[in-house]
Amino acid sequence: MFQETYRHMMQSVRPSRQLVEAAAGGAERPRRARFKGRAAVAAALALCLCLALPALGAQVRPIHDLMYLVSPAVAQWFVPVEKSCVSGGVTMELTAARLEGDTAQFYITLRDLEGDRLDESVDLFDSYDLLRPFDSTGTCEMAGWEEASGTATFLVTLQTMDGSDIPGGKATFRLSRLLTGQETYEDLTVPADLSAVGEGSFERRDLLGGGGAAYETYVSGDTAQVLRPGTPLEGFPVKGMDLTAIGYVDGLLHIQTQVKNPLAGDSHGYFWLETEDGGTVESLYNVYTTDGREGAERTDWVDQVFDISPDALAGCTLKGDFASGGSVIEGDWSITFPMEELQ
Amino acid sequence: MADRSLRADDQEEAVRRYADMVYRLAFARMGNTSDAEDVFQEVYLRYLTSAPDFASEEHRKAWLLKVTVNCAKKLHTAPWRRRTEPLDETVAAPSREDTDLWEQLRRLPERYRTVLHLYYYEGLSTRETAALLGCRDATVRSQLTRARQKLRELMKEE
Repeated sequence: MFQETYRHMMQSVRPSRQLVEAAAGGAERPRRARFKGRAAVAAALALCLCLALPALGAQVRPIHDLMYLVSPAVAQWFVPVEKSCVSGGVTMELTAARLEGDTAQFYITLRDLEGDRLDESVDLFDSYDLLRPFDSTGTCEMAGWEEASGTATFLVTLQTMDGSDIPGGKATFRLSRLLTGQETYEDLTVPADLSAVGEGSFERRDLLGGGGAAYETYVSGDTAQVLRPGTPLEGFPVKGMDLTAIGYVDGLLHIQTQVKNPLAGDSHGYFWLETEDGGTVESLYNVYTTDGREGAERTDWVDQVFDISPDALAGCTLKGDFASGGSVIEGDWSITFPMEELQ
Repeated sequence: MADRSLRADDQEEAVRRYADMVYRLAFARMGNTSDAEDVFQEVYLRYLTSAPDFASEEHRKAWLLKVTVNCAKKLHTAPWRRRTEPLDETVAAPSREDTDLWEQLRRLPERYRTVLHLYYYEGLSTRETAALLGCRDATVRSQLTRARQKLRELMKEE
């Protein structure tokens, strides 16, 4: 209903003819020449660093020294920065950075000063923000975990949107939340009896989202037909997540998981079916629904949907990869640095 | 010479093809025509001067959506804008229902309007929306939930 009204409303929103003509007229202007060689060098350098650094995590040395051990050619591009701030008992340090053409890279380390709350699962939880005086795309990925000192290292990479050189000015890296202590389960065999799965009890709920190869084929509008959550399966080993229902809806197999208070962590998972001869059956799509309550009261569900007959299902094993649990450290970390110093 | 002409024609056609898409996302995010027009012009200036070579139409579309969001963000942080306030504006909608919905949408934070638009209008999945906005799938899902909850509250207030 909302989607229908929204689409209807937006149909009447259009740019003026003059605006479109002015933009289209600009197409006759020649395009600026682009220098791709430098971007290729930067990408190769970034790849080299990504491959090299995780292996270095086991050693206790400043990151800049470590890079020299692997490749002086790579290290010479990085400038030691060593700016830090402390919040929530965790110190964040900008250790090294480099600037080359349209690409800037920064190594950020995090260390717990009050205990051992950080671990190798530490995640910036989408709470980081990079303020810079130019348009760019950015990524932040974990580059290494050093057990002895409890230091997590992240590599932040920025590239200008149009391939132009990064200008001067200041950049600020901000962070407000860390997620630690996540447990991961890989290739888990789920102790569910698939030999006699029948029709599921279902209901229509507001749709929160979804995905998968056949999502658009099967899902439209802002509601979806999903299983009615039942009693959680005993023995489902993923902490913080319940397996609440398995059943057929309109001829398709739904497998439903439930997470309570989902915004306090980042529990997620993925099922597949393993056939008797070792083959796999992947899901068609999945849909997310919620009870819409606020804060700790909220519960979310995921229905993962497969196209498989009950007979074929009877010979399958339910498998999955999951990540769940974890706790959040709140803070207010911020480091500002002038880009000129990296030239 | 012939190649250059073909490229210009291709670009001109692409400007027209995606004009509504770019403008609607800009309008949904900015909340008024004046800012939406500024964003529109900036997006196409970049498109015509510095767009990469696109591997497919999907690539071109995703690039335009991403740059529209970036340009809208940039407009909000422009120094001159901090000293100005956009005019209140109603959408020239054909029905009272549409006008009411827009009034409620305007009271939502911009990031909520952006995910609502990408999800409900552009038909992107939460995963695609997350990739475009550079955030986590779960973040998009929670923003969609909060946006709809806020809309329900606003509707009750009316």
